[in-house]
Amino acid sequence: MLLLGVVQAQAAGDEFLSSFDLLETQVLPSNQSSVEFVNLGTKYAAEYKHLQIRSLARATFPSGTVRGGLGIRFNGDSGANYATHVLYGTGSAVQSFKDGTTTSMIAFDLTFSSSAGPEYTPNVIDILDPFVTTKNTTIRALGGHANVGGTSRLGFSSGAYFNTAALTSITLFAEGHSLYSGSRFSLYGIKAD
Amino acid sequence: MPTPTYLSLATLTLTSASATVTFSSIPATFRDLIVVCNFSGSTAAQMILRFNGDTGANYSGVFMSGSPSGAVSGTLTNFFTNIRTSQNATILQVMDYSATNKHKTTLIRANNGDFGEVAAQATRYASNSAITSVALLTNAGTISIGSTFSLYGVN
Repeated sequence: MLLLGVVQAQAAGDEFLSSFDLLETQVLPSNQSSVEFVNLGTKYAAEYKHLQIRSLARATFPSGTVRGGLGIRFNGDSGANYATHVLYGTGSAVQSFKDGTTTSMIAFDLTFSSSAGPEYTPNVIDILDPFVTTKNTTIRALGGHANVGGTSRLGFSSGAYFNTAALTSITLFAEGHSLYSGSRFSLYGIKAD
Repeated sequence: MPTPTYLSLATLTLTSASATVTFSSIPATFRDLIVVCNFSGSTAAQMILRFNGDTGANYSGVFMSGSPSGAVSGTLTNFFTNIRTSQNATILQVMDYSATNKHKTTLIRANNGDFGEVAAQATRYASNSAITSVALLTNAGTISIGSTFSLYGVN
């Protein structure tokens, strides 16, 4: 057996050249309907080419039809200006679906539960060229949860925002429901040369 | 204030075959861990993921994979990816690894271009304990000389 100790000095966080920076983190202190990252252009457009969101989230139990997934909107736009395609596994089958011309994108998946608990669903969401004004902003995501409430789901999501405006804000939400306390959303910037 | 992150914590290139690779004494300094693996095995087998030396029945997983045989999805309680005698490329992302109020979830991408397999997996380690060690082990044979494993911390 080969052991690798992690040298504490390496983890001291001393300053070093990096092209991947943590920009902001929000950890919900209480249940809330959405999370927003704002003033993105002012704060980050000059230095970062792409963005990444790393999340670990849980949502309240739905009283109606569950669309599924972590909802994503850009620039406060709730119009029918988005599309999402998802390839996902259920633990017994591989399936896919398309939401074309919808009011938000989704990152698949999100833990829904009627009570708080320790099971949260991770998502890693890449947002490409968010500040370029000649392209629609696109996302790709991977997320999923294993054996929560008897269900397991894992999916690749692809989303498009049909607007070439530079990104100024990102809104994340559980459609029609609340995100549980403890859900965490971190925004990262990736630099160009 | 932006914080430079994605810090290299430890890396290893095997100079002798081994059944297990373990990253230990992981500090609680970061939010996520990323393990980048490029490895092969002495025989076709499965790679197992273990946190904190826990060998109990505390692991769940769901996978989705594509191969020449088609696309499948299933659930797992033990291994997280296949290991082949040809090169396997795998990236594991352990989210909120130092949190003490959450189970530990890992997103995994795994590929073997020679065998022709592409896969993704989500796993859950049903423990609120902070992760201080990550072990990758094969359930048959050994991990081959030249295999590399790199551990990164992300704030």
